[in-house]
Amino acid sequence: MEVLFILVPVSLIIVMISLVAFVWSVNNQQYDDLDKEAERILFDEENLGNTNISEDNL
Amino acid sequence: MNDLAIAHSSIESRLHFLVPDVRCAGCCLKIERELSGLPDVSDVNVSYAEKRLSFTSASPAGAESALTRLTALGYQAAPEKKRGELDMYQDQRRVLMARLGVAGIGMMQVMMFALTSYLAGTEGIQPEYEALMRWAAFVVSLPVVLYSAMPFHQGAWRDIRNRTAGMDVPVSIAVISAFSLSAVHTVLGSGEVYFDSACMFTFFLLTGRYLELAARQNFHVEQLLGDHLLPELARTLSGQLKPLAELQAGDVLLIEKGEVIPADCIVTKGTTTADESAFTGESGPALKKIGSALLAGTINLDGEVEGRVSASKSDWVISHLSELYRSAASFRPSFAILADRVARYFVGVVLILAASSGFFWWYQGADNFFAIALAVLVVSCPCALSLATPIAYAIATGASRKMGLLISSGEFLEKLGRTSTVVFDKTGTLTEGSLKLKQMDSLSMTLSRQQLIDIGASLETSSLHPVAVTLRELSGELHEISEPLVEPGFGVSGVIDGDTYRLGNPVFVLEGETPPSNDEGNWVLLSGNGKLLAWFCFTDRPRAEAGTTIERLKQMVGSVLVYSGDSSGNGRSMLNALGIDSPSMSMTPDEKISSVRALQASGETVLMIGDGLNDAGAMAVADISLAVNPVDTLVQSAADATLVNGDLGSVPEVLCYAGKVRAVIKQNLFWAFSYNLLVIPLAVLGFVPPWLAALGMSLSSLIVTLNACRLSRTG
Repeated sequence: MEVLFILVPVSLIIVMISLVAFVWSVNNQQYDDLDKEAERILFDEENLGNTNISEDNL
Repeated sequence: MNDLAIAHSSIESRLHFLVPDVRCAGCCLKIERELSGLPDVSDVNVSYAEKRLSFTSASPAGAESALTRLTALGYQAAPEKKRGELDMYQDQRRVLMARLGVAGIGMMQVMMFALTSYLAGTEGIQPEYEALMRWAAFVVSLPVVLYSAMPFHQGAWRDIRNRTAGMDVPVSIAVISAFSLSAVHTVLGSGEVYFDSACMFTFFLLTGRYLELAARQNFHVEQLLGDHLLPELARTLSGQLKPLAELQAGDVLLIEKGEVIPADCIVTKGTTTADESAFTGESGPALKKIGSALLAGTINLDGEVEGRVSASKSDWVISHLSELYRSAASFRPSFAILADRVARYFVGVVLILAASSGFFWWYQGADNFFAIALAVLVVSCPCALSLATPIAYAIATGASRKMGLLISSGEFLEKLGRTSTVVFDKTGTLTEGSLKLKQMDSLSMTLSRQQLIDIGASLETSSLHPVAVTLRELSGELHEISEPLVEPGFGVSGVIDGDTYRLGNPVFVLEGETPPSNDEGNWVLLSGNGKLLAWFCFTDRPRAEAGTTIERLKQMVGSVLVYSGDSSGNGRSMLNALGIDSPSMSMTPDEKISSVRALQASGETVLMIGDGLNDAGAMAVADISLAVNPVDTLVQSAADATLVNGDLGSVPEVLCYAGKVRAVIKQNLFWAFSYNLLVIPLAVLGFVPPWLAALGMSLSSLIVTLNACRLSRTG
């Protein structure tokens, strides 16, 4: 069970990374319009080059 | 106006437009795909939540081609005027989403670490592992308490500085004290830790806040869309373009096919259909003929029409609507104000109660005195109490629009549930208000009935009188008339192919003539070169749904009365047929007012339903008033609410719905009060652990919110 002393800190690091990633994705406006992205998969993309999600503030 | 926005944009700029026609997420994707292929246009994004199109254009030509393509796809775009408020909502929502996510992830992790000691049972776990779990929980709760719960701390700090006790004070104290005590225990390696309770509490409260903000944002988008529906300029008959604010009642506008109707007006020429779905919730096109009211912001679908502006901009339905949205969001009925006041004292009581129960248990030597104080603090937070009414009202105001009901006074729904007497006006309210040709006696040897009608209709070409509207509907081919003359209140005359015709009442046309029969109705005669040609008899028909509506209202409120200005026996017998036994006929507007007052004096709560100027006074006096399809904006501003779709059949439904709103608010308040009253004693006695308190508190808020959501179904 001593391995927990390594695994728990590792899991904490992963949690912190995921928290930062989540906050980044929110600020990157990825959650602004949940309805549209949910339906995107139902539409055929004829033109793969143009399927950009907007990135206003990048 | 689109050109205007383009002209202002410099080379390579980000442009924003509102697209009110976007009806589904699919529309957004379609527009994105179509516009992305255009030259000089990049980063196309259409937001469904905001119905907003943004793209970057490298040149004015790019922007122009994008808008042309958008129009070709069948969507209209309006440049954004007021962005500030919506941006604020968007930013707030983003920040709150981040806080909520952090709290959610943190809560799950802390829960997992807390679980180990719960699972270990009575033997407990080895101290070094317990310390590890506690330290891990401490690390994960740190961002939750310091970042996610920040709005509560800020709110509490603001309240404390203003020396008021708001809802945030106990929340913030609970979170901070639970966290810091747990941290101390972690360091010391003794006692209990409450990291899980602190995180859970924060997460659930933030969920409530997030839902509230999202609802508010939707509300705002709808309202702003209303403002954006209007064009900047309106075209008058002379071809001159006028800013909307400068339009005055009486100006005549030319509205082309496909255009947005720029002002509330009455059709004076032409026939068309209009898409009024934004106002009435009816998806089908509404037929508009001469005399029909057009609403600013609706879309002229089929034909070119001319319309006379009926009021200045501030009195248009769309302006009222925006105003209404603004006030509905902040409106609180009387019992909600009471609940607020109670909640304010409640917070103070809660703080004292939590402190004293903690002190009592500490004095009794209980180890878990802090847990008890914490549970009391959390469990008694009057969040549900303060949420109970505003959320129900916000949802009800939005939903009532689906029934075609436009509420202008916040008290409307509250009072409607108490109605004991319904008073109707007759003409235009119970009847259709448009005349039907009941009888026609032709005295002419040479002209056919249709030719006589055509002559009559030609004479009335420019009139808005109900007789004119009816004749024009029946007419076939219209004649060119010269020397037209209108004598308001008497009749019209004109010359067709050299013959002089007069149409109107006997005094104007041929003095001394009497109608061919004694049938009640509006008798009008037509003469040609001084010779009597025909008699027309016009009558008003009851609305198809009037009978069943009165029947249902009688069952619901008991007393249904009619106050009519009409004196004819015809009107009386028609009302009897509708189920009104003793209608009050020949009433002047003043008599209507005094009768309503008399009813109120005898203890009745009166709902006045009317449509015309002669009812406006009585409507203002009545406890509650409802305008049905009013032509005059004055009537509408006198009324507490307006049935825009003019369907009398929805009156009983509206009454039903008002009852439902009242019921939901009462249930909410009852639930919130009884929850607090029941659980606080248990918590004080030490039967409620902090995590259960956090769960119970959040569930009670959630129940209140979900109960209010039932109101979004109007059926």
